[in-house]
Amino acid sequence: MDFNRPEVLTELQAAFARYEDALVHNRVEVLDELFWDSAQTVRYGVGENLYGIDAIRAFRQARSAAGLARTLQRTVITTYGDDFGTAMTEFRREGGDKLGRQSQTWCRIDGRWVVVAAHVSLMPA
Amino acid sequence: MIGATALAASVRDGSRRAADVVQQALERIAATDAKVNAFTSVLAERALKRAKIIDLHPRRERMRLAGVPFAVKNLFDIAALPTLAGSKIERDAAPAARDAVLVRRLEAEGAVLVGALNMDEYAYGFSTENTHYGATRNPHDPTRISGGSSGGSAAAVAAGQVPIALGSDTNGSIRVPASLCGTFGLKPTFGRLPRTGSYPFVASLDHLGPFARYVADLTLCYDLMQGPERHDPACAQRDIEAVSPLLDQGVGALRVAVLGGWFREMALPEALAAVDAVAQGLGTTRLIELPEVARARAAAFLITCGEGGALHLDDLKKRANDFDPMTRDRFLANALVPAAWVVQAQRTRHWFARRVARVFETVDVLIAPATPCVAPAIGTEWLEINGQRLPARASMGLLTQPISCIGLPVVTVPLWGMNPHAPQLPIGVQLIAAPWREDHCLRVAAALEAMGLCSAPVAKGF
Repeated sequence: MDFNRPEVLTELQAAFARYEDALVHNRVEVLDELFWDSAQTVRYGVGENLYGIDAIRAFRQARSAAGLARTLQRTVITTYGDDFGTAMTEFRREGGDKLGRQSQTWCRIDGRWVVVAAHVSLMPA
Repeated sequence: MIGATALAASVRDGSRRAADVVQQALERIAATDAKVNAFTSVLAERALKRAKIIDLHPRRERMRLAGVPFAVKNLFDIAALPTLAGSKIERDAAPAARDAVLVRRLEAEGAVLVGALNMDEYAYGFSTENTHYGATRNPHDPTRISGGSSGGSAAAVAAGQVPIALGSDTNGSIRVPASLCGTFGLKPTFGRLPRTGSYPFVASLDHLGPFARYVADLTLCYDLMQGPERHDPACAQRDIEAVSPLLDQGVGALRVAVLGGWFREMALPEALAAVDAVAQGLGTTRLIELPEVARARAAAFLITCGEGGALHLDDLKKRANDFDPMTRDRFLANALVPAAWVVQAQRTRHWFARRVARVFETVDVLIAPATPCVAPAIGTEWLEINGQRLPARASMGLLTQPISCIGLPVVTVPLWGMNPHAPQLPIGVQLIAAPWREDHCLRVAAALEAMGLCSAPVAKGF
């Protein structure tokens, strides 16, 4: 096993950055592309549990595009071998009093990095 | 204290005389060796004679180790002396006809052999607690072991008795004492340096190599010992690939990773702290786990048993009581190891070598502790590692054995203050490279030395 092999880590960091950019600008088609197209994909949001890509897509389409801006802190991205990784980060929204946590499990499937599972939660700051 | 490279420069340009340098080294050894017990022979007459020849030598100004005193583990042949290999039995052996090849190569560059150094009997141990010649004590704390089996070599360098020394490494015998005594040490690739004129232990695993207080000295000494030699069948007969000219290239584009798994599980906090400090200094968070490391270590043990037992079989039958009690029982047990186990161990070794070769397609230098802990007290029987109670003397090599098993080149670099309960003691980190890439691990060692992370000062009080 090879953890944080530089070439692999660089790829996942780029995929993560692309996801974050798409999220704050509400580019739904990019977010969709970066989630695994599978009934196995799971996303626990702050207020919803979404099972399968169809449920995740429906949630994204219905979401308001306002107030998505956020800043990340203490981001830790780790790769395990050539095709697997985790991206963990804290985030804050402007004016918000809560500390957000986002955990993502990434996998390279059919040559593309995609999120296969994710969990977002908030805690008192 | 001045290093070998600088010392040689001053003898070359005539600002120092080799005879004075050697005289001072001999006086220093006489004044300090009662504290360390590193030397088993001091060659005052031979050394002074040789030094005077250097001072008058027509090639002096081109000798790269002009006037530099050095000493060797007493398994290297020294003309007119029996080669003891730490034993009592070999006192009866015929005196060596000539010096070992590596001694001749260093002396050809103006270095001056000043003595022979203590070791575990027949190189079978990691502590240099030799019953015949006494324990070699750690210069940084004389109540503790120097490590072994090249304990005399590491202690002599750490005590400032000589700027360079030679030792051998079958399962860790350069890297363990370098770690515990806080010196730089190099175990080159298996087959790089010829072993002609040295007493063997395990022909399939024996390596020779240098100790020094500076990476430049270590590298120069290594460079001057390279080159083909047809009398050692395991010598790869490669041309000299000098590393000294490459040392200032720094880490550059070299890919570095920490070894995980076995190499972190079987290490105490001070060893992990040292590895993490090196990783941080080199800016890497990469971690690599090798497969079947414990089996690779077992293979090294079994090959050691088979070949070591066979080598001494005759003496074990005829005069077992003349062996050191520290090695006797193990040698006797080794003589009974079935051939099938040893053959299987060789297969495991080749499998592991092929798997690790694949890892080196994406990495250049691997980092691991050299020993699981700092030097224990002389007489220590047991160590507690990873929740297991392990025999102390055999376990000091558990992080070095899997690496020498497949002959990879390793530089050991010393770090300090890693154990809060014994901040004065060093611990070494292995920088491991692919076969024949001594340049990679030496370049990283030089960079760590330049950063001030690693250093090998003479022990306080010496």
